[in-house]
Amino acid sequence: MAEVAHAEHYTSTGIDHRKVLMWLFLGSECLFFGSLIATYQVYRGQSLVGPHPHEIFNIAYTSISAFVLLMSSLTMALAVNSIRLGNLPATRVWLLLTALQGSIFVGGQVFEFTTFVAHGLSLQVNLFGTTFFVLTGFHGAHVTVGIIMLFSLLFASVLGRLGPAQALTVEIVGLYWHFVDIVWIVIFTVVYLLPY
Amino acid sequence: MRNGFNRIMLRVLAGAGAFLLSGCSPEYPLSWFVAGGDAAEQARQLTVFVLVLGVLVFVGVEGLLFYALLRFRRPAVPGQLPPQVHGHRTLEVVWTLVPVAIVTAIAVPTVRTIFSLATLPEPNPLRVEVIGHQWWWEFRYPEIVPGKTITTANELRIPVGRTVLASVSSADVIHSFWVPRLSGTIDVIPGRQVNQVWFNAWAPGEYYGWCKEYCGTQHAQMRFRVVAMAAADFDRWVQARLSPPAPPASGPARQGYELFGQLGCSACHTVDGTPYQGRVGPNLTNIGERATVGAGVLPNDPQGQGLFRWVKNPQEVKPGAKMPALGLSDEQLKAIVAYLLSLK
Amino acid sequence: MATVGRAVGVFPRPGFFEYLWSWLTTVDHKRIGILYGLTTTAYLLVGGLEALLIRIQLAHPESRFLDPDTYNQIFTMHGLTMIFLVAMGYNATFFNLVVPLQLGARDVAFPRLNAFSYWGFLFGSLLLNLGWLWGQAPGVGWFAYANLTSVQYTPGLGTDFYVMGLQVLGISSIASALNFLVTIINLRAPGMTMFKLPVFSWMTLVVSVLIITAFPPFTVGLIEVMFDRLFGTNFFNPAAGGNPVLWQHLFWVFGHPEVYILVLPAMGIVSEVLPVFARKPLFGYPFVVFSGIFIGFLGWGVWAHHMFAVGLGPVANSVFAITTMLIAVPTGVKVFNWLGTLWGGHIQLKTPLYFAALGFIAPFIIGGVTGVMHPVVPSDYQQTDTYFVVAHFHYVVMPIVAAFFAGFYYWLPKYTGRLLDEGLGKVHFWLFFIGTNLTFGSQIIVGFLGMPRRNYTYPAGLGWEPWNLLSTIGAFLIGLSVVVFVVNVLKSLRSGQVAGPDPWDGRTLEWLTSSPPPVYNFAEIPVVRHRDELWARKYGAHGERVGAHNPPNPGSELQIHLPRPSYYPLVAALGIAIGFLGAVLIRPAEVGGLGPLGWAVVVLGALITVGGLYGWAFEPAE
Repeated sequence: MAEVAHAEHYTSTGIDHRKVLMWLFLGSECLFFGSLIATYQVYRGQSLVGPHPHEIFNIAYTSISAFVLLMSSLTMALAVNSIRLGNLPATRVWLLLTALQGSIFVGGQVFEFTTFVAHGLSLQVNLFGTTFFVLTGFHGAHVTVGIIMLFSLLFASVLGRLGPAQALTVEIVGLYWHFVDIVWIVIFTVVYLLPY
Repeated sequence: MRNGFNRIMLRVLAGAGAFLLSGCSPEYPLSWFVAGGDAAEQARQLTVFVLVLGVLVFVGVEGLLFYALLRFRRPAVPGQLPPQVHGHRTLEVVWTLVPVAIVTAIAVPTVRTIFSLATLPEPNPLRVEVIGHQWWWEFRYPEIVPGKTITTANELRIPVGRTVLASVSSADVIHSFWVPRLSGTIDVIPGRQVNQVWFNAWAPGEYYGWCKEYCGTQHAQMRFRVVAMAAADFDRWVQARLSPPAPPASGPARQGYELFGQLGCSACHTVDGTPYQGRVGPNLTNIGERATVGAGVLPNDPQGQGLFRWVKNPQEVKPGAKMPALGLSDEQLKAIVAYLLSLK
Repeated sequence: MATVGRAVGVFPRPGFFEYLWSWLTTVDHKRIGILYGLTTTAYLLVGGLEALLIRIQLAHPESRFLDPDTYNQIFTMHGLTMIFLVAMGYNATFFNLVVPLQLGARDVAFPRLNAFSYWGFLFGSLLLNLGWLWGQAPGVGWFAYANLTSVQYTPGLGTDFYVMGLQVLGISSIASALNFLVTIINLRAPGMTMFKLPVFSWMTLVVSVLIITAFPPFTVGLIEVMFDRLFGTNFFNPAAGGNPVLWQHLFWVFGHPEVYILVLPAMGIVSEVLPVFARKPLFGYPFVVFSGIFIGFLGWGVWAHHMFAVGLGPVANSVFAITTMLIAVPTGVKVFNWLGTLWGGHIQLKTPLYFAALGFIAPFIIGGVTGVMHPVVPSDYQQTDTYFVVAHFHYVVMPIVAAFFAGFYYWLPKYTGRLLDEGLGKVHFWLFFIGTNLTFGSQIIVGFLGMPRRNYTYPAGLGWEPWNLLSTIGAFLIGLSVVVFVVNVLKSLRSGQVAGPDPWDGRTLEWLTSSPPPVYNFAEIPVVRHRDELWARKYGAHGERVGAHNPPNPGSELQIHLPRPSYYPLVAALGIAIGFLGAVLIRPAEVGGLGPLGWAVVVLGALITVGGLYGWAFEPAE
């Protein structure tokens, strides 16, 4: 047969397997967060006792941490751009900045949770506490996983194993990171901004 | 091949036979192919219509399948192939439209009946509250006369001909209320959601009911009966319930009455007109007239054998039931049973 | 970089430990398919045994063979085993065995992820069954309706094993589905456009989409039950305003697509087998494919037909009634196209066709007709939770099992190199066919007579006795048929007729390569020009070259890069299962847990998982 395909490089769509995988995974994640958000919405305003959201939310504070998380999408995009151009030092800076901003967001969330608990909101006290902590907690866990992936990339670059050949890996981590940010836009709107 | 075909035909005939039997025989008290009231009758008519349509489709499609398999059976001959047909556009359109037509024929009466069953046919029904418990039924007639409520258990008495509106709720987990000859299933849900279902009975009699949603260990034995009575009988029954008799004055029943308090039965059970006001277990005010003991598990015979066995050790009759064995002597049991049988 | 210079079969025989190690670290889709097949067959026997225990208990009224709690655990585990372990397991078996070969690919897109999926399936299934050791298997039904699953009503470990075991199985299923999606999207042989894709691979694609979209809501439901049980949250606690019906929505939003996850691969198998044994192409290929996609799509809009009695109101009930009835249309289209495939063919009545046509289509019609009776909501108010429903869905799932048997008689020779025995195959078929109809035909009738399901006992005198006894006799015939199948497979491995590359005069690419195929499947990746590529190579696209028989050529041997074996997938999957076991054991000691010590097990599992994932990430893939 004249036409012999090279299994190592050939893909039917021309897109790398890992990138297709990440897109599909994120599609699946949409349903995961969709179900958590649906639960939150079903129980909106159904708590029999307080504390109620308007009593404890500090919208200004959470807006700032949301802004930090959104800005991290910008630095993530810059990291992807830098590695494509082969600029390793810039890549490291952008990756580090992204990870730091993510950490600020998670740290802010930990502080927020602590404050809420001090105001009497716990997982057990009412439906708002139950649904709020589980929804935002799972989002925080996703951000944390993203931070771990970013630090893993930094670690690989220290070992000298991150170069333009791994641009796709950085891009895929970036896809995940942008997704987690977008989910936060939805959660922030639904949980904090929509009138209760 | 023939065998398979014959078997299927046999099964169809057997199924049709059983269906006819269930339609005419009183031996199948839980079959919904005999309706005892308007709500069940609407469901029955629709079911029979769809079933007949279904059997026609079944016979037609199975016939085509078996015909094709037998008619085109042929050994492979090298060098010979059947015509390599890839499809046929008109046929595709036809066999898409045929199911659409059948489905439409079913959907229209379905939706009509859904809304008909959701509409209360009588503005002033008899209101009852049904409360599911693991694993028995509480029935209440709230405000049956102004200011007075009757509570009973495992046996719902209703007047013939009158529409009954049941509001169902649960004290623990999800149950399901079902009296096939009178009413379809409605879920009994704890929390805010109180479902309602209406039904009536055309004739006096006992109609079997059954918990239908799996609700734990003894789900299988959470049965009840709806007893339809002539309107006058029902009114008399209500009056009797509203003025419970005084506790027995003497004899074994009196002894049982005292034991009922001393042994702690009253911590869980209520008997109207006495100080016994426990709310955990079934209300026993009219236990003596109920047909069964333990939510349909044992017959409640006039000799009290069913009650004796039940009170002696409920766990032997209905393992996992919430009522413990109290370790009573036969003497004590006989006294308790005598008391319970006197509650009519 | 591992290179293979000679064609090695699936069963090389080096020293025992090397051999065992080679299976533990395998990333070859064919070996993983065989592992899935063996594990699943073991669970078929377990689930079948559970079915027989149920039938012994119900053969007579007032039976005391099983106590209520044991019976409830057995019917729960029967459902869970048959759905999550047997049907899903055989699906994964056939995805692995067939799809890469049908695509003309060397392996799946992510071989190590594939191994991870298998080990997750194995450890998850063990975790689900582990409760038996405590005498506390899940006993809340496979649907596990809240709030029966709260600690108050099921204080034992059974519900925890349900929640944790199914999360592990969910992770495994999603990983596997993602893998096959990427494989089918990206690893089709050159020239194989989507409308040249074999139907089984098409159905794998649809099912994989359903898995990655349906499992997340279920996972969220499981997480909510887990939080309620472990941390005292209020998701399903009516006392705090929680609504147990929410669980039913989350469960059935998953549960109904799950039904199509089970049935679509079976329809794919039937669509592969019928053309081969009728010796003509699948009738109306685009209609079969699109009706499969349409069924998958509709599967998302019908979940509340499991909830007609919940009290959603007449409008919601009408909408879900109509969407559900609509499913009859694409299903009918499929059945008619299968009839069209048989019509005018040269039908070879061999065992695979017996199972596909008589084992699948014939009883599936009953499943379909009874299925259309359920969205008739007023009828459903009566039928729901009776044996009529049990009979209906067994008339759907028993055909699925028959399709799996068809698949085994058809494809197993490709991997063992030996045919199964036709005589034993026919015995297997007739026992299975008669047993199925006896068991579930009786249940249609006893359902019409009003027998409710999930009852460990029933009183005499309601007219149910003879039908229950018949049903039990039928169940034993089915059990016997499975024994015949196992004997047939063992006999074929010992002394079966050698199959050769193309024993059935096949149509698709898996029959192009040798039986068993070499590790790398195809020496040269084939280039595809036709829908039935192999058939076209043999007979021409329209059968014009019939007579000039052109034997398939497996191709020459080449230096081919193969993925390296790896034990990290096993480690990662084991870590996850241990972590979830720990989450079961957090429950207090009074009910058999370890209390706070369970957290140590969770941490241990997490560490093993992280270690496995890091080893995996930094291990060179080739």
